[in-house]
Amino acid sequence: MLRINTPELLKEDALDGVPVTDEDVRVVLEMEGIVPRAGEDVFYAADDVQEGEAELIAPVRDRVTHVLDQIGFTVFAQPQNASSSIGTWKPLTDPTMVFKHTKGFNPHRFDVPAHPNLAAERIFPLYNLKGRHLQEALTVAPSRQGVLTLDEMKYTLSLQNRLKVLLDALRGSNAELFPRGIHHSDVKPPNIFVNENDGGVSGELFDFEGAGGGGVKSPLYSPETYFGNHTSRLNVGHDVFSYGISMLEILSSDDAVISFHNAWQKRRELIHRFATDSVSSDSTKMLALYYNGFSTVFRDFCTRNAIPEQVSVVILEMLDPRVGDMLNIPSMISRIEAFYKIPRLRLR
Amino acid sequence: MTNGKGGETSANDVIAALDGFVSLAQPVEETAVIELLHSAKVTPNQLKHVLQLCERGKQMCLSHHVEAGSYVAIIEYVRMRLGNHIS
Repeated sequence: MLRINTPELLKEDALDGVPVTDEDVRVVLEMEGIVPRAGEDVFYAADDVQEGEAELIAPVRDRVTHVLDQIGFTVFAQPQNASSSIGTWKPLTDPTMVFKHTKGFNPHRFDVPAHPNLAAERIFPLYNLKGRHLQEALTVAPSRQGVLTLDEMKYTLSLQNRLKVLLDALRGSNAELFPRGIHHSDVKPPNIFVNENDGGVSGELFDFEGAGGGGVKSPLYSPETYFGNHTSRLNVGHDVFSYGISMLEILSSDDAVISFHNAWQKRRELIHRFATDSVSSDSTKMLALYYNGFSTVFRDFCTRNAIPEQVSVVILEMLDPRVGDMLNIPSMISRIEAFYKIPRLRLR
Repeated sequence: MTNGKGGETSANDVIAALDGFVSLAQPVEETAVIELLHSAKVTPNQLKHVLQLCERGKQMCLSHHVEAGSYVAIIEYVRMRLGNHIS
């Protein structure tokens, strides 16, 4: 996923005199079926391009790449069918990216070298979720070379700061992804950058390669692993569920979350075995039985890991498989922030 | 994880899974429950717990006009194992 800021901004000084026409911007947006409101930031998030279509979008890709080159970004993409190792990723300008891969490329698979060791080039998160202006982001881009993820910093950040990073990412998702019906589908601590600035920290989500796609990316964080198809959490709620599990992990440890997952899987299997023919496997009764068992395992977990009740009720809301996408996310964030006295993120 | 018994199903697992069915007044697959209770190590106290749970399940089902036979079957099994010492 690539975020392209307002057309006005692209036309101004950031481009160093290189003209980008309205037409350039329009073509990119049209490809996505996005109709931006005045002054609104725009995400670039195309669906998979099918075989044979690569050439159709090549001119658009070239123009986008050109624009990004001018403003100093290196856009990396993962060749389709290549291993997921970041070392196999190539700059989008590399001609082999399109033409040697007959299945085309996924335009949403834009990314930057995520690992600091590989970040010899100037890196910049193209999907800058916090809503920072492109111009402002550019001025701090060089300092991103040493940026670590929430997972990598879990032993060095305080609990309060770890939570703040996570809540920032959730707030970003809620402000910029969810209203557009986009879900990341692989939210987890290794996919959240920790920005350190002015003695404080903030967080933002990255690695959008699976955004909006189906399938289970990281089983431990995916509602399908916990409830199978007994969950209505398949869209935006999918990410909220993953944020909930990530929060459990931050408040306990990753080992503890694996234990929680295993304990619930075992309980779930028993519930399944105990269910009679009168409880059809896709009924709301079955979901109620699962939720009942899940919340018991969850409460045990919270007690063992000394997670305060005021917090555990919020997390349970995030994990409740019965709730669809109608979640009051700002309320969840503010309740956690209030409990841990986390200062609010200053948005633009 | 507090359950240090690896993959084995303990009586507590059975009780915990059963609890949800009772609270929702849902019948259970009694053969699965009995089979697990039979193969797991169960203390008399846990059996009593199962008994109480199933008595409650039976009542819940009856009051909701739901088939309570599965709980009756488990109650019979547990009473048999307890040697009819509990009335």
